[in-house]
Amino acid sequence: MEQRIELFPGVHLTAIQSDKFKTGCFSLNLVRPLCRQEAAMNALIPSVLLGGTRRYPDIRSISRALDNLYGATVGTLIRKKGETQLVGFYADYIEDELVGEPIFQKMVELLGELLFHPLTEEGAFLGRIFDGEKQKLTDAIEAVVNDKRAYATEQMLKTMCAGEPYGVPRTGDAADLKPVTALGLYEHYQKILAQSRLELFYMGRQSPRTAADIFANILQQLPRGRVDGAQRAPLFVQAHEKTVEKRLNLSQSKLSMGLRTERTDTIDTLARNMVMSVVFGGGPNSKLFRKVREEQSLCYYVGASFDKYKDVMIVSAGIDAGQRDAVKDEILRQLSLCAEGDITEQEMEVAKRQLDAAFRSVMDSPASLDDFYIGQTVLGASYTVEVLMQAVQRVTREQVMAAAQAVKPDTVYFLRGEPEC
Amino acid sequence: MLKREYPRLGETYYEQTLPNGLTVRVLPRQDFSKVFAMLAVNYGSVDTAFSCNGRHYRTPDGVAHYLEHKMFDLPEGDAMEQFSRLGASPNAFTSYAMTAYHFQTSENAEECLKLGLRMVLTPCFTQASVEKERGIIAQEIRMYADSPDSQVYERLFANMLRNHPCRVPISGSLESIQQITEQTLQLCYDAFYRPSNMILVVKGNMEPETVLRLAEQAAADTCYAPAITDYGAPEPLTCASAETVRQMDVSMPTFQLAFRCPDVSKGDATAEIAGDLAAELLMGESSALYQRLYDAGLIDAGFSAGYESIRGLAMISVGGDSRDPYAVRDAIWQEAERMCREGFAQEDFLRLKKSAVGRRIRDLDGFDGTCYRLAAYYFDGVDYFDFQAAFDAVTPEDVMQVLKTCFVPERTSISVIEPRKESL
Repeated sequence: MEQRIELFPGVHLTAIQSDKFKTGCFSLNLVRPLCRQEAAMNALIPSVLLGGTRRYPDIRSISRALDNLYGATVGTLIRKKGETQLVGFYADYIEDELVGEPIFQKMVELLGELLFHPLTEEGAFLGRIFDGEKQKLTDAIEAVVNDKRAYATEQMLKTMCAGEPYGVPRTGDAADLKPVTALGLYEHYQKILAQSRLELFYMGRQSPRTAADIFANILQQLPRGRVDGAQRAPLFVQAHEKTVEKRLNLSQSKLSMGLRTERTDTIDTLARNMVMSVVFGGGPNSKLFRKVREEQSLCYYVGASFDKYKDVMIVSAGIDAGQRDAVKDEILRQLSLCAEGDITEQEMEVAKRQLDAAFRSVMDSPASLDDFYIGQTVLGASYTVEVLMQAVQRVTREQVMAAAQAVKPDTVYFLRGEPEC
Repeated sequence: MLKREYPRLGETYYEQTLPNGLTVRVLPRQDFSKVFAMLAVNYGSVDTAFSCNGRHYRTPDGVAHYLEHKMFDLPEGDAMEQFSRLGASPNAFTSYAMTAYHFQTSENAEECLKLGLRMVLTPCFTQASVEKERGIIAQEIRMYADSPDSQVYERLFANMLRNHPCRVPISGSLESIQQITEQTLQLCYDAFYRPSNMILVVKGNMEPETVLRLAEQAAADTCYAPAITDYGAPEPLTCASAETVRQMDVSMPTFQLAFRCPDVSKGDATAEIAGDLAAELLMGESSALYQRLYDAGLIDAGFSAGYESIRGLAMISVGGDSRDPYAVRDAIWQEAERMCREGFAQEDFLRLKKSAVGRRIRDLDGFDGTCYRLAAYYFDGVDYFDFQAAFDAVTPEDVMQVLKTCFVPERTSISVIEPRKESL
């Protein structure tokens, strides 16, 4: 279904042809190691580029151009997959056939304009744009605190992975952003444009070959130096139990727990951990939902999610302040029930069905396919969604037990809510 | 079944209204493996006061939402578990004007649809299960109480409206849900959960005849008219209060602005389009005002403006994060005034129409969004897919009328959530 085509050394396109949608889409991603030194700068680059180009010197003129392309959209992308950071752009637009105009070609030209002709002054990004975007990214980083659930998870990961790149937030930290200058950022941008792997994704009515030719034609302007194509696996660290608590003015307290799973470096270990995390805590049929929420009414929400890019499982719960230890103990008890084999055939079947439905959803969503296949390029894995689906269906109860047995609790982070009245 | 074709959109659907009043719409897509189905009831949080069979009732706030929670109970157990076993993802939501139950599945579509229909058409509440749900709903209310995005909106409505039931949060309050009993739920169920008050919309890999057959089998034949809602005294166009502020744990102020527009009659498809175009012209991403506010650091990429209406109550809604929300509001007033004096370019008007139509066409790719819009617009008496004709009908004068009348202080209300003075 999908094809992976090399456009230039270190520059690849994954393309899927489909007639099912009225919207065509693509993304371009610069692949960088996630690290404190660069994370904030990398996160800032796409919005600075989108602030103005030679041909479209401000947001207003870029918007007008997009309006004229029948309401096309261009947006910034900043993704974290394990200990890799991917920054760039995505674009959605109406398919050529529906309007009789070469919209795709024009969108790729716009991409080229954004990448190669940003507005500069004296060898640096334009001050007006740089200053504005730096402030906005600072604000966005500080705003993570507004979503208490996400904030609790972020703080938990910072604690759990303090010495690992995974502890660095997706957009870097405000402290790392502070010293960045327009000149420094521009130089960094030129460097990563020349040295980074580039991964593109396309989905739409064009054939992969046609899409590849159109991209290659625009991207031949890329300055290419020695490309760092090294695949860096994330650090695999032993679990180390610890608990951190913070008080905040909240009605509902938030519990975030980080656990370390076994290494999932084969498709089968990945599949069994995916099934395990769903049986344990993924959705209304999971042990966490049924036992901790429904039966014991201990939380309004509770769930577990497994990060395949780092082999970490995260449990989140919204609870009453006094229940911290009761909930934590019950969560770990449900996990040990999985490890001991207290899993029914029905639980296995329902979990696999759920994953199957999720995969089918991915296959129907261009944005999800983008995320999956770009993710595959980070993992250095070449199997398709369908092959992973089959691996998940093969997982046995014993394999889920083994996966659960390998899980080690690491960090508990608790936001204790203390409402004013 | 009636076949409706929209060649310019590349869309087709099949429709029929059953003897019991239930309207069924199916958009067959054999090129997808999945099915999305939504059964929507024209009953929302605003329907607390109503007349039925000659009697007038006033129910506690939050009933529609409470009822939504309870619909998943079936005599033999929880419908959610049954859906999961069939391989489907079910969910539901309650808004001011509507309650909707939906699922998505790639297998057992017929079984799932049967289950969904049975679930909604079979009221099943016991005193014990109603009690148990109270705790869960209380937690949900607390969760929204902690959310700045929920609060900014709820407080705007509470503050700007004098009588209209949109003043009340959708889930009700911790106090009001204490007054909801099994009897309350049964009363409201009987009043509003009538097939004639519902629409079933299905998109995906299913035959229209199959959907129709299952719908016919699910519900009784008799057509009952639903209750009639009493919204109280008509809501004036001037806002009850201009401003409300609350401090929460946010890093920067977040705001929601409303500019009141004239009430929309049922069946009017153009008011929304004229309103959206006015908002785009005035403060869309390609406007001079947007660029100015963005460069001044007064708005960011999260800023948005658009027309919305809830059972006829209409406004242009503007929201975002800003260091100085009042400056944003004042700038909007000034720019509206300038635009009324100086006019706007025909070219801009046409460009924005082109862009809006393009985006609406692309949105049709979605399953849940498309089904939702078909249902919501149906309840408002509008054929959603007919938007091209509605766009063609809107003139620059219509847009100018919006600019002239809505962006004035008496029609404006602002809600702000700002950081605590001593936080973080």
